[in-house]
Amino acid sequence: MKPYLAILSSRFRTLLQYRTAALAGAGTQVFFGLLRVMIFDAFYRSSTAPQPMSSGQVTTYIWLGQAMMMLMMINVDPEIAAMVRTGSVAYEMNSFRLYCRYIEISFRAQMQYRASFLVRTSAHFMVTGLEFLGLAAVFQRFGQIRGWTLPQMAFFYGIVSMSFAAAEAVVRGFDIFSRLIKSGDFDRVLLRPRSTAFQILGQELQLMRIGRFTQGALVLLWAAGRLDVEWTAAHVALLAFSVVGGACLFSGLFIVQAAICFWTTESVEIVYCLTYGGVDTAQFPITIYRPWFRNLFTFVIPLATINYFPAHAIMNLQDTLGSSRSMQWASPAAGVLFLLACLRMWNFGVRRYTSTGS
Amino acid sequence: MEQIVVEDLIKTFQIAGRTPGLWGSVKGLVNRRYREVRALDGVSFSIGRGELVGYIGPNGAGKSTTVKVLSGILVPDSGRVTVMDRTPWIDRIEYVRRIGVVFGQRTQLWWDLPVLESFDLLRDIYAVPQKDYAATRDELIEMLGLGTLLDTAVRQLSLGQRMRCDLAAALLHRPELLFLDEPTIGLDAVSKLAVREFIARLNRKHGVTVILTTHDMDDIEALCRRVLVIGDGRILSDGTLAELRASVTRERWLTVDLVDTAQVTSVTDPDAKLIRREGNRFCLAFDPQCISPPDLIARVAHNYPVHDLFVENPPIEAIIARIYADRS
Repeated sequence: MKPYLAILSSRFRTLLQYRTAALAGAGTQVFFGLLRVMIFDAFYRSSTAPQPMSSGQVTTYIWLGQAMMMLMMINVDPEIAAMVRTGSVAYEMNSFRLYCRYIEISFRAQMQYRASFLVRTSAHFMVTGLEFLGLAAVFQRFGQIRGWTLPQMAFFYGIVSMSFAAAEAVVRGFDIFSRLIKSGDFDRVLLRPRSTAFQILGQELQLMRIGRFTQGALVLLWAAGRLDVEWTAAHVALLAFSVVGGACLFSGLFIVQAAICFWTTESVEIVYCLTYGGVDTAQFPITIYRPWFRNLFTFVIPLATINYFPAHAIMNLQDTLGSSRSMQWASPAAGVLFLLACLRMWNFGVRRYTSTGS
Repeated sequence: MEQIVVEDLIKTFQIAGRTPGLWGSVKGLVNRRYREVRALDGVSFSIGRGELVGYIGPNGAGKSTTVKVLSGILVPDSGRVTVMDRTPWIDRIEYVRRIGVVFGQRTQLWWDLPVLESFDLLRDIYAVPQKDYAATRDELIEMLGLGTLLDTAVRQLSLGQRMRCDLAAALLHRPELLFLDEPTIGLDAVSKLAVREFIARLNRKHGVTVILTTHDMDDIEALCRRVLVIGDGRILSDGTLAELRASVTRERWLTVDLVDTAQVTSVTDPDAKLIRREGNRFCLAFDPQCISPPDLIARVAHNYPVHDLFVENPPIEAIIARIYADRS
C-alpha cells in the first residue's frame, strides 16, 4: 500500500507542476457536466410524461459522474502507450509530395502493428456506434427534443462526427504536441527548413479514425433516408463543404490546444471543452441550448456554421433562428477562416518559444 | 573573413521555483515564485571560415544556450549575432538551410526507418537536387563507413553506428557551418576515434567550419586548435589548448595503484601533492618543470609497492574549476 501511495503522490505532484493544466482539467469536467445537464434539461422540457428518474436526480447523477472523472486524471496516462508505439518524430512538408512521403512513413509504421490497427479501428467504430444507440434509446423514451426528431438529430450528428474524425486523423501531430515540447524535440523542428506547422502536420495521419468517420457516415445516410433528403449534386457539394469546413474548425482547435503548450508545457485539457465538448454539443441542433451557450458555439467557436445552418439547406427546413438560405450555403466557410486564425495563434506561440526556450 | 560574429549576447531565463513535498506542490498552484537565471551574460567572440573551435564549460555554463542562439532556435534578450551575413533568428528557414546541427544525445533520424530512407527524406526536406544528393551521400557513406548499415532500422543501431549516421544526416545538404553538441558522448573508444577522424577530415577537405561542444578533453586535444571556455555565462578564456592549460596550471597528475596487500596509509613525495585517494589508488599532482615525470615515477616506484601507474593531464572540469577560482 505504501509504495502505491508514494507513486500516486508523486504523480499528483507532477501534475500540479503544470499549474494551468491542472486548473484547466478541473474546469473541463465542470464544462462537460454543464453540457450534459443542458441536454437532459432540454429533453425533460420537451416531454411531460412521467420518467423513471426526475430531472433533479439525473442532474445529481451527472455531477457525481464528473467528479469521478476528475479523480481519473490522477492515475491514468493515455500518452504513455502512444509514446511507446510511435517512438520518434517525423517532420516536415511544404510540398504535397513531401507530405505524401511523410504519410507513407506514418502509414507503414501503423501497418507494422496491423492487429492493433484493426482492433483500434473497429473499437472506434463500435464505441461511437454504442454512443449513438444510447442517444437513440433516450429519444425512444422522450420521443423528441424541443421539436426535433431522432433522424433530424442524426443528420447533425453525422456531419459533426465525420468532420471530427477527419480532423483527428489529420492533425494528430498537434494533439500529441506537448510530448515534443517536453522532450525538447521541437528544437529539431526549428532546425529544418520547413514551416513548423507543416512539420507537425506531417508527423502522423491516424488512419484508425476511419472507424468513427464510417460510423458518422452511416448514421448520416440512415437519417437522410428517413428524412427523404433529395441528393442533388448541389446538396452533396454542400455536405462535403460542411464536412471539410468542420474538419478545418476542429483542426484549428487542435492547433490552439498545441499552441497553448508553448505557454504551459503540459497539454491543457480545457480545450477539450471545445473539441470533444464541441462534438457533443453539435450532435444536437443548437436550438436546444440556452442562448448564451448557443451564441458561444455560433459566434466564438463557429460550430453551428458547419452543421446546424447548412443542414437546414440540405434537409430543406426553415430555420427557427431566422438564417437565410444563402447564409446557410456560405456558412461552412467560417470553419476555414477559423483555421486560419488558429494558425496565426500557432505562429505567435512559436515566437514565444524561441524567446523563452522552454 | 569572419564567418561568425557574436557581440555582447545576453539571455535570461525565468525558472519557476518549486517547493518540495505534496503540500508545496499544492501551494505552488496559487503562489509561484520565479527566479531569473542569466544564462548568457555578455558573450562576445568571432570565428573565421574553416575554423574548428572547441566550446567547453561545465554543465549549465551557457554552452547549449549559445549553440541554440547561433542556430536560430533561441532569440537573445540583447546583443548582436551575424552568421554568414545573417541574423540566425530572422528568416529561420533560409538560415537553417545552410547549417548542420548534431545533438549527441538525440537522433534526427526516423526511429522506424532504415538509415537510407531517412537520408532520402532529408533530401526532400532540404530540397537537395538528386544529382548533388547522390554524390554527397555516397561520399559520406564512404567516409563514415556506413555501407553495411544502410538497410538497418535506426532503432537497431548501436550508439556509435547511430552517431556516424547522424553525422552524415546533418551534412547531406552540404552546410557551410556545423554545430556538434557532445558528439562523442557515451561512445566506445573505437567509435570516438572514427568520429574524430571524420570531423578532422571534413574540416580539412571541405573547409566546413565546426563548432564542437564537449566534456571530453581528448576530443578537444585531437581536433581543436582553438578553445573557447564559458563559465557562468561569460567567456573565460579564448585561445589554443596549450595556452589555456599554461594560463591555468602546468600541473599533471600521476595515478598510482599499489599492490592489494600493501598496508600503506599514504603516498607522499617532496615534489608532489596527494590530491585524492580511493582504496589503494592514489593520485598525485606535480609540476613537470620541478620534477620530470620519469624521475617522479622512479622515486614513487622505489618507495612504494606499485602495481600500476599512469600520468595524465588534469581533466577539463579541474582546469575550469581553477579558472573559476582564479577569477573570484
